[in-house]
Amino acid sequence: MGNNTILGKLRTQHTVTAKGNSNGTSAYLNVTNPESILVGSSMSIDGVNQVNHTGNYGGGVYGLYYTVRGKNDTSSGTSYDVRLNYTISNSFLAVGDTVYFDYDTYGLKIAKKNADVTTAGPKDTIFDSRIRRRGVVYGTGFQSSLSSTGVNFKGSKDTLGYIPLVISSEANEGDFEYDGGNGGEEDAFYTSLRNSLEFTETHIYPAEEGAEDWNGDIHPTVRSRTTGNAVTDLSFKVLRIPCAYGYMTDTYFANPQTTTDTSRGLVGGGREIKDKKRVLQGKLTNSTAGYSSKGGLFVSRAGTDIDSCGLDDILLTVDDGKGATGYRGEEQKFALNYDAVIAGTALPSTSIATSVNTSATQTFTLSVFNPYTFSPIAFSGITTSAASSSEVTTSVSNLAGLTSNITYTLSASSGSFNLFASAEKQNFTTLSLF
Amino acid sequence: MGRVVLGKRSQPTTVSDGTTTVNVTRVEYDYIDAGGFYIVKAILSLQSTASFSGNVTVTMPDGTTYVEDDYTYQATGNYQPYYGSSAQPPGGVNGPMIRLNDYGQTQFNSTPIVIGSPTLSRGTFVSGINTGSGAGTNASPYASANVVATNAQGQLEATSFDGGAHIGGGLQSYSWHQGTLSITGGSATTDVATTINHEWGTNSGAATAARPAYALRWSHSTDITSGVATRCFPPMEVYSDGEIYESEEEEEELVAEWNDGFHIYGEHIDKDNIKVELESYDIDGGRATTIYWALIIFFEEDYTGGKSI
Repeated sequence: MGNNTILGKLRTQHTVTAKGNSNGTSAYLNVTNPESILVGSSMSIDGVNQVNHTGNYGGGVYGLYYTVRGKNDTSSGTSYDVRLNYTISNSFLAVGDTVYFDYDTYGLKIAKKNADVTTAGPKDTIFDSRIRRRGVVYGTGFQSSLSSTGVNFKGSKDTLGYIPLVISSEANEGDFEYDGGNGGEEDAFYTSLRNSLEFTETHIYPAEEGAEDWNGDIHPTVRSRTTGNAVTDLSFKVLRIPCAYGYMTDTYFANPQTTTDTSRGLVGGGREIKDKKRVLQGKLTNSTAGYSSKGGLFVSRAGTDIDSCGLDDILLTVDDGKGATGYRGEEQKFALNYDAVIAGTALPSTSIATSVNTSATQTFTLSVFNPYTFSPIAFSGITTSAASSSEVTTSVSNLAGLTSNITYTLSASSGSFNLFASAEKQNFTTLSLF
Repeated sequence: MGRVVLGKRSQPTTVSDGTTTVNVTRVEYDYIDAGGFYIVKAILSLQSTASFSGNVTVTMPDGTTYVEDDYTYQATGNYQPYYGSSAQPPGGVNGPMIRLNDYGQTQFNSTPIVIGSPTLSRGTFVSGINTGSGAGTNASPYASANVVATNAQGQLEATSFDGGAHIGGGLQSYSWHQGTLSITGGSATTDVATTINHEWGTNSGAATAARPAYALRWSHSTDITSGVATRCFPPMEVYSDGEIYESEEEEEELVAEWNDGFHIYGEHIDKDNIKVELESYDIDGGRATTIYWALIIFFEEDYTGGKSI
């Protein structure tokens, strides 16, 4: 089992395996374990300092501050792992040399089970303070039904300023078919994604791109659903991640850049803001975010101080137990059965996928490691639909040995299906704000 | 009581005869009703089968030990503990297990059995809230939970962040994209698509068959104000068809018919590319539609079978 947590300097170490140009002066590099490097990562050849460039280049490029401007960019027809903001000669960095990235980046990085945090990229971490947006929970809730007035997940919490990503689950998912009509009318309606919703900055509504009055064109989306497909047992989590047209920009997702702080040099454009107080373990006071001597572990996004940033700038904090507070916890899935987790060399998945041809009810069981006192929340659905109604239902049983079994029952008259499933750690119901 | 652990949160409770050592995953008790309920036996679920001889020693996560010379090992099958005359927990305990026959209320009072994590648990942990304390209001917030606390069965209490026992990467954003797709009314074209080259697989070192988790949302043109959406929807796929007849003099006349379809969804092409596709048609062909789509690619691998989150 590898190292799990780095708190402090996030420097990673690599070996150069190729350079872009034949004369060795190039901004393009191939390096070992490039997946741990992000666009924006700084570079050092001694792991401590900026590159002293005067000897080779002179002319005022002293102390050049190298950063990664791109990944897998192409030079002369060849793709390289990283593209720097400035060329570097073999006298400084040649094939076979050691090179460091994020040498002056501090924060918190936590690996997934079985991954080594010193080499893992963000795909294999569950927390990386270099990344601005992650699944910080803004609100959760459970609704046994949902009318056209929707549910307000904002309450008295801070205003997001964007439409957030909402993760949801309903009792009925997959496809839905309606055959109706009367008298001189015959009509049919089919959807493969019956659990359709509308999201705004503050609300969730039922939604459907339905056929108006069953007499023609599918009309603009309405806040209702076809008879027989009402929202039932809706569980949802609202995450502090913008997810709607107009918000998918660097303003909302990228770490802020400075073009005026020249303390590290600005050759090749702006760079990420450094020298901020981003991690605090202990008691936090932040009047902007509403914390007063609150104990815990706190991390702010790049370019901000944890003791003065806003709520939406916080990447990790603690739930202060107030219903009106935006932070509820983390978007984390259960692991598969623990024996498989600790015995396997590959990172385990929390989902199952299977294809079946069925003419009768079939069941599948997902076994998850559950060390907690509550049951996992099961998600399920069908990704490949058939021309007949089908349904997946779930039941959870908690077993001895810190294991919960989730049984998925697929009922359908005919067809070929792909069933997916996963289990959430977060308990929607007991943490519900409503 | 702590809120955060950076380092070792817990380690296994073990049973050992000096030769064989097995982790304990859970504890239940037999109680008698004698003017009050008293423990008369402890039942320990074991992580794996074992063979014990001589005395066994139970070692708690903090190093405290309890030695037992009268025990019953059961590799398979079930044992039902009782709380007085009530079967508790319902369904009993499944093997492998070991029953400590001399472990009574006196032993519990002096050496309570505490169950640690199934394996050495190191990492970063942040506790959640204790809803048994407080009202969840500003005036009376829920208290924080003890990050190393266990319940009577030895299970760890909930954490709001668990870096040691779970995977599931918190949905860290990898890349973000947006655009529009249009279909002209009455045209032969009924579907259009755009491919986004996100390079997730190459950049993250993922296997060829791997795909990234993603979230796709879309909006109508009427939902866009000052360049941003005011509402949005997840992927959608709907089809509708039908006819309306009128009867005149015992003859049915077709007065209306329709055949409409609409879908917008994402589809992985490979580990580095994803396609956003729009289909919109009616009985005359392409139905005039412009949609505004938004897409996030996450560092997390796709656990949805290709569906949008």
